[in-house]
Amino acid sequence: MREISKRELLRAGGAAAAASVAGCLGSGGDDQLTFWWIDGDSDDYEDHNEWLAETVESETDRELEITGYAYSDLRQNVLTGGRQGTPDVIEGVIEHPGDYVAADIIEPLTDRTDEIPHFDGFHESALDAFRFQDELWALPYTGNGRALVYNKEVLAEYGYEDGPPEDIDEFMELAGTINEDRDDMNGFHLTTERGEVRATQEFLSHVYQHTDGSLYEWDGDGWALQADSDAFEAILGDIYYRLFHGDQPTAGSEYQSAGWETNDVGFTEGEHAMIHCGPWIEGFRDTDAQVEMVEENAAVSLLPKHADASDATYMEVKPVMLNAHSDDLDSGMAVASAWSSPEALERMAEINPGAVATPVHEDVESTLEDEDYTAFVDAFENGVAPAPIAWGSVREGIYDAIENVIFDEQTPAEAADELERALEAADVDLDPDAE
Amino acid sequence: MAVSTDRLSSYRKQFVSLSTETWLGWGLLLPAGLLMGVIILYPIVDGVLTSFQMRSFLRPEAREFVFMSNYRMLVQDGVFWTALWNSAVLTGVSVALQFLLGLGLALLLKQKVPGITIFRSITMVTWVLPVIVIVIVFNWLVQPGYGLVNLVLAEFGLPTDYWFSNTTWALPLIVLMHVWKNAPFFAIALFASMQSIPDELYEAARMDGASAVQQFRYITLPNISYVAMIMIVLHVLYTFNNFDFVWLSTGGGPLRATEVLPTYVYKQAFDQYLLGYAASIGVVMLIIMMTFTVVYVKLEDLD
Repeated sequence: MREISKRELLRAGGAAAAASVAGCLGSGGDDQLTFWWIDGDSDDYEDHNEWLAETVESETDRELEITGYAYSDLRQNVLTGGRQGTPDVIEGVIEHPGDYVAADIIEPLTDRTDEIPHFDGFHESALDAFRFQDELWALPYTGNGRALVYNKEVLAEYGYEDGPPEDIDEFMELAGTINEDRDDMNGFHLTTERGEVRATQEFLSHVYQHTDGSLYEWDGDGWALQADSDAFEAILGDIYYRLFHGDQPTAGSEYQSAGWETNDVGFTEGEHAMIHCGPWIEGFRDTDAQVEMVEENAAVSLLPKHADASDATYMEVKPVMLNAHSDDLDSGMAVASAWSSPEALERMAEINPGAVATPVHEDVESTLEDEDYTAFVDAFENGVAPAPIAWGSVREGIYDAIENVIFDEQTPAEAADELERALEAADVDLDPDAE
Repeated sequence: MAVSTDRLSSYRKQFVSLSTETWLGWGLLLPAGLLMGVIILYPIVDGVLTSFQMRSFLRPEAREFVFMSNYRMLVQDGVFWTALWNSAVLTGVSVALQFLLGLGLALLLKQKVPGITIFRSITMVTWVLPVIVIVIVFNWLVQPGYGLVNLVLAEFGLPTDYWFSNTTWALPLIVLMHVWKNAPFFAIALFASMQSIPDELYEAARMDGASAVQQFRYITLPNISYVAMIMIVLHVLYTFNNFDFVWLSTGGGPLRATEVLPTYVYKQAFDQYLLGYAASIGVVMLIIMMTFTVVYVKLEDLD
């Protein structure tokens, strides 16, 4: 066997180090466009990504490199390195454009809407989610509104054949009764884990019922809090406290501080009679029991509410954005346009029907065929998009309030007062120069 | 005169030789020094500087000196103290258990019994597992409803829970994950150290009538103490700085029961965008860790 000399070893090491440095310094060549989106590396979307790359290449003569990131990593990487011009095009969640605008990373699209052949077909409410500072900052491509998913069979047993009661008090009583009657099923379950973004989205759904709009509105000088401690107390007391405490808790104490998996997977496996959820619930079909649940037993209604509240709920719209530092904004626009086109959305629906259950585009048909699920469409129409603010301290305040109530550390009134104070003091303004 | 010229020439040669060697030395050190300056020294200096500034993650180029303001805020911040306490408890308990279990395991690995080689290999499996896999395994084990731990507890009529959401049990569960991952590494390091102890020492002790416990106390323990101390100090540094176990399993909850300094720094920097405040927490961590690093370096110097 030939011996490897020290010189050869050093040379190989040097070459490997040079290759690593080259890999770190740039992904792809100069003529490559880059697009980051959450499922960029997913096998499920391989054909979809290939189609996008081919479409863009035929229109721009530029290769498209698509990379996948978890949303938290994506946001950090864009905020840290986006100013270098990579990625050219960015996908994200509804809270991202505000952060990116504040960081001067994304390009306003207001003057470029003529370049989008299908622009007139977008629902105004979906576009509105990305309109602020007199500019449009992103194109929507998918969306959903939060609603109540329930087990028809179980509710029918309790005389609610047409769906759960609208009134929160009656609703929680029913959930408590189901929980009391059944050892193996919670009446109603919510996501309450600290750091779980679903926990804040579900909480905000009920806050929006009281504000009938966003939690913060721009009043000309700054962002003004729209909810007060009374609204918070009503929500924390009538929903969150009664989840695990009171005469008739709606869920077992072992479900405190549980994440979205426990909520969604748990429902499809028969652990909860009612949950907060979005249209993706239809996609949980790994076992026969789950298929039976989503196809035969699950149905959707609007969320329960207080008598003086509206049907508002949390609206999630996914954006696609252009990096203002890209060296080829026109080609980037071609990516964003192709990505949000009706053709792309129809292709996406074939891979994941939940993604187009409540389409943001008039020319795209909803994948919801089952009448039991159509309430998701109403929920989307009642949806309120979160304000473009810094959500960090707001989320922490909401987690504190939820945890203090579900662990019975504070009364709902105490937690509500503290939450109001925390949200009033929260530094929500993304623009450091705004003061 | 000739003697004087020879002496001068000799001095010159010595000087040239010395200076050449010195400059060569400096020249060889320079690339590494520059690299260290760029990738280690500069970020640390910038981090310390940032701790005295108001600086947003969204506009990192805008810096405003606020001097001790971040540190004043830190002293009044209850969550910081909770995180500091949790970090200390997590580190102290984890490393102590890792050492004790690792020592026990090392003694077991030392036994000359059939199949011990396979057992030594299996022992290392948890250490090579990625943190995310360990968290997923533990998360699955303690899930309400279908988690194996809860199924077994329910079988015996014992109370079940989602243990990561229990304010009493969440931190011990994270300690358990640390121990599960790292105790085997302690074991292998201590076992290697034990292998270097000459058999003659044990033979002599046995001839003198020393019991197994006495052999362990007076021969094994003193001979592995150096490696043990290095391992302990290194794992104190690792555990105190560890972010992923807590972040992936509980996110610092419930009720801040598992909030540790690394997760709190992360939240301040990347959720609240308060780079200056996050840096001030980082500086406190740096000071604590530097203390342990000094101990580590001192221990390394011991011979």
